[in-house]
Amino acid sequence: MIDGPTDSWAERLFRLSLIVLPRPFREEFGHELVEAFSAGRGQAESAGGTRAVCGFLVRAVADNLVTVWREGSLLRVPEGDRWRSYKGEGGSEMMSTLMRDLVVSARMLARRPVFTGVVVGTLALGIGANAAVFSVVDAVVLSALPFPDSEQLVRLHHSNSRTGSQRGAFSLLDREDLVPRATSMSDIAVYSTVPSGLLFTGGDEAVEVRTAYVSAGFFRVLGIDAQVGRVLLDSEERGDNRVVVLSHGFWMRRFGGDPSVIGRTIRLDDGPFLVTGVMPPAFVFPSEEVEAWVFLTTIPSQSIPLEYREVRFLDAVGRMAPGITVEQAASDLQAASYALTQVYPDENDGLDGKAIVPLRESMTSGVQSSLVILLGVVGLVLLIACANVANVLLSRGVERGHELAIRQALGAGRGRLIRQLMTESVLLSVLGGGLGVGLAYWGTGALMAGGGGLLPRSGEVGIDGSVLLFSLGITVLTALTFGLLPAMTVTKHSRAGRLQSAARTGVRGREGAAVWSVLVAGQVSLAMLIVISSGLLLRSLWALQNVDAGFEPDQLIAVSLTINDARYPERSEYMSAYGQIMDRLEAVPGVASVASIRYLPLRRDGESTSFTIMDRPELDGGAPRASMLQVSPGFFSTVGTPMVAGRDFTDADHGEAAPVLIVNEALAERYWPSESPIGRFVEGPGGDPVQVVGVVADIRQRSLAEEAQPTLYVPQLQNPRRGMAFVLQTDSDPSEVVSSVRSAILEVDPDQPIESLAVMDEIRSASTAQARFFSWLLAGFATLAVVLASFGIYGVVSHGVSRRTSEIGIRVALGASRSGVLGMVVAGGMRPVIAGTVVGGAAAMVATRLLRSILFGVSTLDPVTFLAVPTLLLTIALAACWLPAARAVRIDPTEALRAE
Amino acid sequence: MRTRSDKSGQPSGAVLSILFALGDKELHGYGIMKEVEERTGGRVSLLPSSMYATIKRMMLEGWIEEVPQAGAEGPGRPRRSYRITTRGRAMAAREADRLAALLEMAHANRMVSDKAASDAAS
Repeated sequence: MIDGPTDSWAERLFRLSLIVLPRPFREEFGHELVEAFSAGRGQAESAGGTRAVCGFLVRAVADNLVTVWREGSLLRVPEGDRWRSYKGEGGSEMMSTLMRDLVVSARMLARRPVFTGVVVGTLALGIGANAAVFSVVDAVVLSALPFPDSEQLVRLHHSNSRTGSQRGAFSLLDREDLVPRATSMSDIAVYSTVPSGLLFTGGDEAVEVRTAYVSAGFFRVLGIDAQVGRVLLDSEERGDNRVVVLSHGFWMRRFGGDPSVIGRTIRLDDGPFLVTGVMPPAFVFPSEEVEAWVFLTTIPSQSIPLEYREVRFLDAVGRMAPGITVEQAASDLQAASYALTQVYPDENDGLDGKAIVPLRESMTSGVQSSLVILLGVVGLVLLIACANVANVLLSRGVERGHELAIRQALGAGRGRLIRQLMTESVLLSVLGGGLGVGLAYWGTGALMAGGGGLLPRSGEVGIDGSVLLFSLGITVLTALTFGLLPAMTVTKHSRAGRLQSAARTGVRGREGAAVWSVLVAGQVSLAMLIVISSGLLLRSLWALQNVDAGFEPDQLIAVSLTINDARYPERSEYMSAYGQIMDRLEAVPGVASVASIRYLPLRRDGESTSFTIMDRPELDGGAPRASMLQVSPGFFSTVGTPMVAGRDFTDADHGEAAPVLIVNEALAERYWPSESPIGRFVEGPGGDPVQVVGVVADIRQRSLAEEAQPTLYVPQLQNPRRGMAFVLQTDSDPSEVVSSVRSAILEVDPDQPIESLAVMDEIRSASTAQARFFSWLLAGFATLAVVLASFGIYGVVSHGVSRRTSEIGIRVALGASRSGVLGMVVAGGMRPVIAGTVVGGAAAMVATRLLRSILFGVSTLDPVTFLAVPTLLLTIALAACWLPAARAVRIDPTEALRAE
Repeated sequence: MRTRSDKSGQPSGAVLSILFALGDKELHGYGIMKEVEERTGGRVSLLPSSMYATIKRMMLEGWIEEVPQAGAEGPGRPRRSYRITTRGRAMAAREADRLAALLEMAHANRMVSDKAASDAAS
């Protein structure tokens, strides 16, 4: 072969591909083949550039394969050798070697159904698990979002240099301030699913339509047009235009897909809304639940005063101008934000930056690391499966030593034998892969049934082309991984040596044993890695589930609802509606006490607010901030949260009484670390002095994993809100009371939509559902890893015993004690296991650092896990060694020697 | 592209392409490739492996032969050229007649596009 001066990458790849051609042909024509390829490549290049060269390369490489397939025997005729050898192969000439190998392999596998079944099953489990997890990772993490040029889409947050917050929400005015100043962005839109859905009263019964409130530019930023009709126009944002775009699902459910709905007026919250369009079914932004999109400006001002710049509760999404990178956009927005703090020094105090995150990342950040770790783990499980199969093939290769030796003696080269063995491996792998994809199809369904609701973009998960390609890739890799080592090992020895040894015992000893030991050690170390990771996650889950959330979820029912704006527009009206609901709920049999709070625990923080401490106006780092929650008297006793000092609110803390508040321990410790806050006065945003009357224990509002924020509780009567949640303590099993709670609310107003009604225990349990899902999934894979590895150990030790039957027989005949034999076999088996445990433990110490971001309340070097897992694995391995060892002890020396 | 003759005993397209490309000339491998490509306006193209497999077969059949080299110049192997043998020429002539008859039939039934006809004429 040549190395010409014009040797491009294409030539190099082509030359590499020539390896598939039989050597005689390569020796005869290799030089010319590359030359001819070069000429063709040159021609392709001048005709169609790199793309044409790629096409030519692919065709030429495929031609190599086809030619070998069709002309295998012709190509093996040595140069100068004439007619005789060419005709010599006679009738079999037509059948290529590959075909013959395949047929031979298929027969071989069919003759040993148990062996084939075990190997194919093992591979199917490994490949199937990988394909299933990959299909999820691919859809959720890897594939582009379903928006045009989706890489230009980013989430925007205010960053606050004073508080260090990177997740600040926007107000409607923030968008209008920023759009003209941010030249790096094509457009920015803000949106929210707060306050709540709109009440649709067109049908037989009132239903709540889950609504997204959006600003102008929302659909333009995302780049999606309506499927029927049109999206909202910027000009409709202000003024009296009340327009709505419906989701495809809602349109089908409510209007049976009737296109004449476009242009019609429907009633939402007792007001008329003109339907302008229906979105395509795949449009599920900001979430899959959304059924309608309306302008933020349709929210009544008394509900949320959007005209204030500080009313920040909106999410922001932007589209970067073409060619702009995230870094460029970030620095541009930084400058714009700083300029805005100069224009609005009060409203934008501290908001001198923007955190900017690609939209895809922000949608999947919560699960990305978990999914990638999961993919890594199933990859390791597949490796263990490969090691197992390699073990089995090795034992079988050794059993077939005699057959292989005879074939070698009859003139088959080592390469020929390796090819035959590899054909068998590929066949096994392809069978396993095929079955595995079937398993993955089922497994993906099961995964989505278990965790679909917990994952973003889960609607896009499925077995598609890229998953099939991935499966094909790992199938081929798998065949190489488990097939090559045994094939190399069992064909290694000289013909004479093998025939002799085969004649004597049917095996060759030491090298095989060394390879086995390495395989076992490798399996054990991988299993260690997986089981330790899974152990840490389970410990973390346990810690999470046992966190003291600050309340007693037993026997609590939680109901969230929002009083209808249109029906009860005035404060006094909706407050009286609340009073009626409260009274009705208290009268429900089985309910011991009822209270209310703005947002339920474990859902979200309250409204962010700033305050000043009156006898201590100057504080470093600006005014203190806290989360503010409205509660009714008796809330803390109802949910079982103890007052640490002072008193709870009473009915006397009504709207006309002196304003009071209760602080949580986190706030008390931050601002009154060494004194009691009781009796102190603070000044809220309204400017009135408010007295602290109590300190209450911390309640986790955001999630179980996040500590309570400094929180101010204010009496609901002094700070009323339309949207509230009721908590009910029951005397008995709360699930029995749920339905009477629902009917009690509907008795007050049959059109009152209930946002959620659940037993508090379920809310708590739902908040750990994702962690539970990942932990148990990983634990499942860890179990699979342990089972595979222990089968591997058992197989190797057991095979070792049968190989050494005669040796053991001799030892026993020469007077070796039973316990000595037992010890010898067990020690031989455990040696690589112990080595693997040590290596795996060391690897885990490094690798578990990757888990840090998803662990809660447990160190990545958790001593309990790092002690328990090796103990468990060694015990299982000991059992796996013991069974064959016990068999060895029962070997009858006379039988063993007679066999020899 | 099948390189051996098919079941009816007729030589394959690749064999004929190489025979017709060689004609009276002596060509090396990629010369044949280029000739075929150019003369057929890119309608027929050969790829390296299958072409050399065909060349090997044709040499074994005695249809073409390697041109003896007048001493190697420089390092490495000299580039090999091929020419048609008497046996090959006879076969090519026979096949060309057969194809001409077939083509005539195609013309008669107006199955040859104008473009192909004018290309062939030019």
